[in-house]
Amino acid sequence: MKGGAKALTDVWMILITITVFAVLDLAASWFGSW
Amino acid sequence: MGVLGILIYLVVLFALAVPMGRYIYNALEGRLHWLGPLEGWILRIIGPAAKREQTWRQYWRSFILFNLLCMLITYAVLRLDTYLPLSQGVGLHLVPQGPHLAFNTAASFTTNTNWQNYSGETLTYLAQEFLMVLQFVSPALGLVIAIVFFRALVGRRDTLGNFYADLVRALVYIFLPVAAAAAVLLLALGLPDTFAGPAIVHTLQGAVQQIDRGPVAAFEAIKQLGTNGGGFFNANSAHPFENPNPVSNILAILLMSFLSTALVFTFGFYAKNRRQAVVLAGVTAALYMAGIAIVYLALVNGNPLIHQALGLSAKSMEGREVRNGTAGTALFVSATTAYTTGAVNAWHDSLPPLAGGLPLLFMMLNTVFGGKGAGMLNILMFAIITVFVAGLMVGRTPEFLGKKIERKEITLATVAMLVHPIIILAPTAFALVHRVGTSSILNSGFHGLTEVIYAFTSGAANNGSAFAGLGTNTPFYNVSIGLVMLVGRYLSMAAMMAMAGSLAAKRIVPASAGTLATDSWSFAWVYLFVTLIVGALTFFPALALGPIAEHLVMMGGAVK
Repeated sequence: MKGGAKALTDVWMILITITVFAVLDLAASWFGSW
Repeated sequence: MGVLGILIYLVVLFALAVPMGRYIYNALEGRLHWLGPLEGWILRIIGPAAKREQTWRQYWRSFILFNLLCMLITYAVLRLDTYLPLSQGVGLHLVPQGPHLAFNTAASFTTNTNWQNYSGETLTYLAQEFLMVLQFVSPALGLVIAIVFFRALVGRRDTLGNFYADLVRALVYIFLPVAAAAAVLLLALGLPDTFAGPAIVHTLQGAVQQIDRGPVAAFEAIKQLGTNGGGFFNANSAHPFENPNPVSNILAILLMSFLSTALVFTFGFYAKNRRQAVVLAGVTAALYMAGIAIVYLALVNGNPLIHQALGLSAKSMEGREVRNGTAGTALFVSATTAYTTGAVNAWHDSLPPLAGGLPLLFMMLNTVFGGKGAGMLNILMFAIITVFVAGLMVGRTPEFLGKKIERKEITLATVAMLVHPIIILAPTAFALVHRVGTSSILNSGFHGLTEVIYAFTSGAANNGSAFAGLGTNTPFYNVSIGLVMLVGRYLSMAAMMAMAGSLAAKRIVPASAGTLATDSWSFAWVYLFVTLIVGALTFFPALALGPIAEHLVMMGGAVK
């Protein structure tokens, strides 16, 4: 993999991580509102 | 160690559970002060954030942000590992982790899973030490969420404690001192603990051999105590430097099991109802002991095909370390999956089908004591579902410890319960039909199916033990199992925290003639069957196509 592609993959992995945790935080709010 | 050894272990385990349960209660409620200076020093660094009482929502936000931070820092450490100091020695090993693998490893250690798609030997000592820090933090994180749920169940309150203060207390009073004592014991039993790098030895035949070493004793202590299971070496607890003899083997089993068992009794102290704890611990212990018996008998009986072919009557020995013995292996296999540790002292892929299927069942149930906090939350989730089901059956009001179980609670319990089978069965089904999944299955037939479902079950249950026989260091498995670990740990916890918020706001209703007693043995029976029917039957088709089919074929005299 070339350097640019590698950096892009890192960005993807970090974005996926932050998104998952953000969704989990929202999920708790949603559950609480039931 | 034989059957007698197993019985002695069980006696010691339950003898320790009650006093340790009281100790955890005292530690988390701020009643212990013997390490006050250390606790105070850390709390001063955190500042005013550690002093405010938090609602369940504020507690959850602090928790989830802290976990996110842990995962991002771990990811960075793993990606930058080649630039870090403290290389393990002469440099033949160091292999940088790519983005997918680093994502998997970071998710794995943050979620207390410790699934490893890499060999410990490929990291620097610094990265290994960093992962060891997570081995302390991740079980403490699970523990504090269970404590919040206990608090919500036993009183009417708006706030449920402070996340930072709870985390510091769990670390300072429980994990640090016990792990330190265990590390000293392990040192005495022969585990190395050094930064000196590998030993270079000349064999009798004249070859030069590199024997990897490291700070293993410290790593091993918290690996077992925190139900982590991530090995310092690739061979995990089958490696002679991680688990050199039968004494270290039984110590490892005791370390991985006693805190989670004690936590059931901690719940009893919170609820001021020791009988409730005894009932829940009793039924869970029965499941645990039945599992140990099945694994032990499967190992003793061995493979009848080998008996017929060679005319020998022998135990199953493939993939096992002789020094651990049959009972020591059976107990380790059962404990590491019941308590969701994930350390292995035998090659689970090589076990007879039932001995390999039982760990799978334990991880699917995820209520046989389980990991720190997470297991206890699952026990309470099933207890609440049992209260509801039993209440419907006999026309009693669904109440648990005086708190009414209403539509919101049962909906959230159902969500928490359904997350587990969905995140196991859906990705397994995909992996079994798509080339990205099937291309790295090393065995065909029933055994190959078991290999895939074991991987996702281990991730979902935050166990981390590998059945092996499946090449999981691929982008597909790294990312999918990584996501399964994250959702498996946090989504059901989110539902349970929302339930804690709802329960905490309710007043306690005095028991009446219409109340179903939950601290009775008749409740224990219903709880057992609800757990088995809901927990196990969900997975029965998968089990039938995997280990059960393999067992029947073997008993029928066929190879596959």
